[in-house]
Amino acid sequence: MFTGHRGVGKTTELKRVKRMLEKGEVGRPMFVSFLEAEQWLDLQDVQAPDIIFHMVRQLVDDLSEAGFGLGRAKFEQFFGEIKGLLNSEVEFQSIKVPAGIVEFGLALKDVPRARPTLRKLIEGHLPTIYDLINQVVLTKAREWLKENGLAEDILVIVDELDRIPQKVIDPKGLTNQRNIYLDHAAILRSLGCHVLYTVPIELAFSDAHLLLKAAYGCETLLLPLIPVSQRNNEDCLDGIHALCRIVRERIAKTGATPQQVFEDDVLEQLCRVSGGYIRSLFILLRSAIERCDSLPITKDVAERTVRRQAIDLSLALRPRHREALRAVHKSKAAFSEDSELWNLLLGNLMALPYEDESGVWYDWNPLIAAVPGGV
Amino acid sequence: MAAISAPVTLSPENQVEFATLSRMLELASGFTLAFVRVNHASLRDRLVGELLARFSRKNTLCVALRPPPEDGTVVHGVVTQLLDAVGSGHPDAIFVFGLDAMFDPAARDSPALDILNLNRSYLAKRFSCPVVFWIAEFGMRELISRAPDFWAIRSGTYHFVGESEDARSTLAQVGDGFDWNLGLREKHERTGILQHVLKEIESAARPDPAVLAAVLYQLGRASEFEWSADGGSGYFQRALALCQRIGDRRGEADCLLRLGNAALRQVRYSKARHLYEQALPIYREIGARVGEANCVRSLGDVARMLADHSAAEGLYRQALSLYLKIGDRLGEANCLWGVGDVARLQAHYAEAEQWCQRALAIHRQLGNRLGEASCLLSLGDLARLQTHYAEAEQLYLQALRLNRRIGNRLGEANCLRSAGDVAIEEARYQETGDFYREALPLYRQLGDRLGEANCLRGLGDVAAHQARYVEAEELYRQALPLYRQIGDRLGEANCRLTLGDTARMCARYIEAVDLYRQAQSLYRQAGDDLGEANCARGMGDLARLQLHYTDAGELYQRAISLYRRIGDRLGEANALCRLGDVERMETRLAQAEVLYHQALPIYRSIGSRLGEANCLQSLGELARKQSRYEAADESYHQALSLSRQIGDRAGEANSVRGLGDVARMQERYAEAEDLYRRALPLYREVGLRLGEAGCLWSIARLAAVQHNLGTAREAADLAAAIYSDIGLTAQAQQVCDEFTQSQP
Repeated sequence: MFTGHRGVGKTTELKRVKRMLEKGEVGRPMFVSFLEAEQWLDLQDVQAPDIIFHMVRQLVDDLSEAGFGLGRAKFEQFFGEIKGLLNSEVEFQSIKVPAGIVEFGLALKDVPRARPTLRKLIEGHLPTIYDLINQVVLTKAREWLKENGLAEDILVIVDELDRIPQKVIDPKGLTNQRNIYLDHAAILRSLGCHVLYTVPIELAFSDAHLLLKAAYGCETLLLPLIPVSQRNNEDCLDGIHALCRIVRERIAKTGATPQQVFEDDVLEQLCRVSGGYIRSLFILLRSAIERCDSLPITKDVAERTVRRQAIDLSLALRPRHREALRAVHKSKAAFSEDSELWNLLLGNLMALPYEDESGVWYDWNPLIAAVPGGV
Repeated sequence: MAAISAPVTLSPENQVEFATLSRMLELASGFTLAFVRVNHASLRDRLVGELLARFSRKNTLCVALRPPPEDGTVVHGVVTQLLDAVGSGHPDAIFVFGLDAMFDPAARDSPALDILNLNRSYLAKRFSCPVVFWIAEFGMRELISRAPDFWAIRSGTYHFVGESEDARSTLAQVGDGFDWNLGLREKHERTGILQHVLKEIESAARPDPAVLAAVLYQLGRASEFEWSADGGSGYFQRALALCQRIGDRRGEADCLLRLGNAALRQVRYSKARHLYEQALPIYREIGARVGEANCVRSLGDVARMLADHSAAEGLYRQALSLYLKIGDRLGEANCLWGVGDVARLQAHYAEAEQWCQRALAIHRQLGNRLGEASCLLSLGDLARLQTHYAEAEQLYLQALRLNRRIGNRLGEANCLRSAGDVAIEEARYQETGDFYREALPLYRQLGDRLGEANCLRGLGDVAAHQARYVEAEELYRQALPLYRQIGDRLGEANCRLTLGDTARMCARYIEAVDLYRQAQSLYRQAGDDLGEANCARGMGDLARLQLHYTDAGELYQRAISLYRRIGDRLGEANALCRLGDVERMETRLAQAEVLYHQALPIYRSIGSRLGEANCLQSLGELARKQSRYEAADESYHQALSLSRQIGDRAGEANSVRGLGDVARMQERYAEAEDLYRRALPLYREVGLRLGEAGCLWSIARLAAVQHNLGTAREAADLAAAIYSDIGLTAQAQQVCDEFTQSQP
């Protein structure tokens, strides 16, 4: 289980992990299948069986591309059988079962009307799919991978699942995220190979985190932000320098020098208020550049830019948010009094997670301190 | 980078932002997502005009998004609308307007933003130019929290602050037609704009008091739409002070009138009257005749609420003639409705209906949905009062839809509760409960304690009808203090009456008599014939249970004449039936039969299945007493099937037991035993102890004729114990006597 803020670099990190594992740079070499969830699933309305279906589809596709075609053939054969079965059923008259598995998968995403029927079709045959994949395809694939010296084991990475927007789906307050990750953990755990799921940060940092641990038997890994300050509110110089380095490298690519772009310590200042959140840093930089008649970016322009961004952020701040954020800034811990509010603050980047040797800690987004009139 | 000169007509702060925005448009290469935050359409139009002129060589596409229609039909989302607008063109920049109208800031979910949030990467792939969303501040706030991923890929935001002139023109736009008839979403949108304009004006160095007063006044109106607890008083008070300071007489009178309306809604009648009386001379002085007419009508409302019927009617008629002179049709319709409501309060239903229909026709012509909904609700009430339940329900549901559309939550709650009131009359208890439960939180949100109390009492009635007496009592006891707090004597009386009924059903007779007497005196004070009739009926029931048949007969007779006077057909039928029961007990069987046959057609004509079932049950008892067993059997069967249809478990038990009695009389003993054994657990399930005792008595008799004396005595003992337990000593004695005699 893997989580982190939007835009913190999860996908980049996962792609790097994939590359390293495939090359055997760390541990045994692995065959890695990478599913980009958003491309295949309608995240507004997604359920565990849909995810499994696409994981299997992606896996057999990737294996087939690598030269192991058995999985795909088996899957399509099986698929043809159940499709025939269903086409003969009267209740299925209004929807045509798509011809191939890819088309089927696309229909699952793009034709919401067909979704319940197609989902029922998958759900009804889950045990068969498990048997087919776990006992036939995976076993044979592992043998084949080993024989050809390609990999020792198999990993499926499901990226972008953390983008499932949180929704309350029943009167008792159950959310779709809990429903997928906790209530249907058995389905998500059913593939007999290594699996890495991305988890929405609101879920991973809610009271559900212990349940997640129990359901999947592992910790949820966090990709933290680059720290710009420490728990004692002092600057974290390593972090700030790392951020500056990222910016300097980009400047170098344009042929300019940092001195041409920034006056004095403006860059450090912008890195500090970015909270270590790369996307926020680049919005700040871009916005500052737009505010200049000519480079370098002056202190004055930088301050104005920060103030503007702070005002934007404060638009969504309600009094109780301010209260909670003050508490978080003071305690450097999660706001436990109201979990719904806390989820919102994490999701909106009002509160940011960091990690040090003593574990995860939180702070408010440094832009909040720059809100005119204070928090 | 070349310096960008901004138009000098802009304030210095806005010039900086303008230059920044221009620079972005100049520098942007590829997809760039930008948000311009501006609250005033006038300022926005100026800025767009300047930009289009400045970048006249560039191909800038302006797209105005079409908001979803109120009826909830799905329209194309933001992305689709953009794609349609762009077509095969290659604009250098796209300006998008109206994103804030795509969602309702007060709704929990906003599918339009969800979809936008998920389609952000598609947007980035499809458009290779700056896409600039022009959006009001409230819209931006919602966007940040509801579409965080979309927001996160922005490249920049630009903020323009309006000046007095902009505020004035925005106010004119927002104020135009800012009334109940606007769709809910649009009302919320305008409120959002007003709140931010207020903030802008307040933070200006020297706020313009006239503009400030106007914003505050409109925000007060917005609170009216929300049925906020203070009815917008806070805003109106501040606006009033400003108007008085700058000598705006009309503004002053308008604020006073609104404050009066707020007081009226808070049930502070004398305060309301005082405020209206302050506003009236001002309107007269400045010759504002609509204002004058509104004041007179509002004074009529006060009189109506205080049950001063003739004063109310006089004031409404006075206002009506003013409205007719000015040609103000809305005022005319409101007055007609008022006169009609006064007629309704005096139980002149046919007359009330005529007035209301006239008002309805005008509201429909004017397209005034609030008025239309109020008229439909009133017509529904009139239909219900005349026991035309199906018609009433139709009308309530029509009104409900209208109220939901315009976001009138109080109206919505009232319609739901009224629909519940109809459903309970037709013994559709499940639905009734659903209606009340839906209305209850609305009333609580609105702080409407009367509505809350009525819903609680209604839910109590449902529980009582379903024989869940403990729960019913609990609900009545929650409602009672609410009625007392708001000084609603009638509500209190109703509560005591129903508590009396539950006490009676739970066989706490002494308590029941007390409660009936308390209710009766409250009803007499209020001159409420219906309540008094119900009390007479309840006390009649008690007397009947205690075998005081003469008393019971007199009480029922009194109830019947009261019900007839007010035209309550259900009440009349129920009392006729009970009187029939008394006659039956007194073995005046022919009289009883006449009474039942008077009641039965009434039940059928008003569609009361519960009443019909009970009446059939009584006819069954009568036939059994006359030894016409086949007729008895048939009546019981008919009653049984009706009871099952409406889920009346107690009725079901009675019918099954009746069938058992018939079987016993016809010496079909095994069948009788089987039937009794089915009835007994039903009685126990619903907690109807009287029925349980009666059933045990029948079992004892059955056992006796089968010479199974042990069982007979055992059942008789149990029955006697229950009778004495529930205070029916006479019956207990009867059982004992009967089985002592049969002892060898």
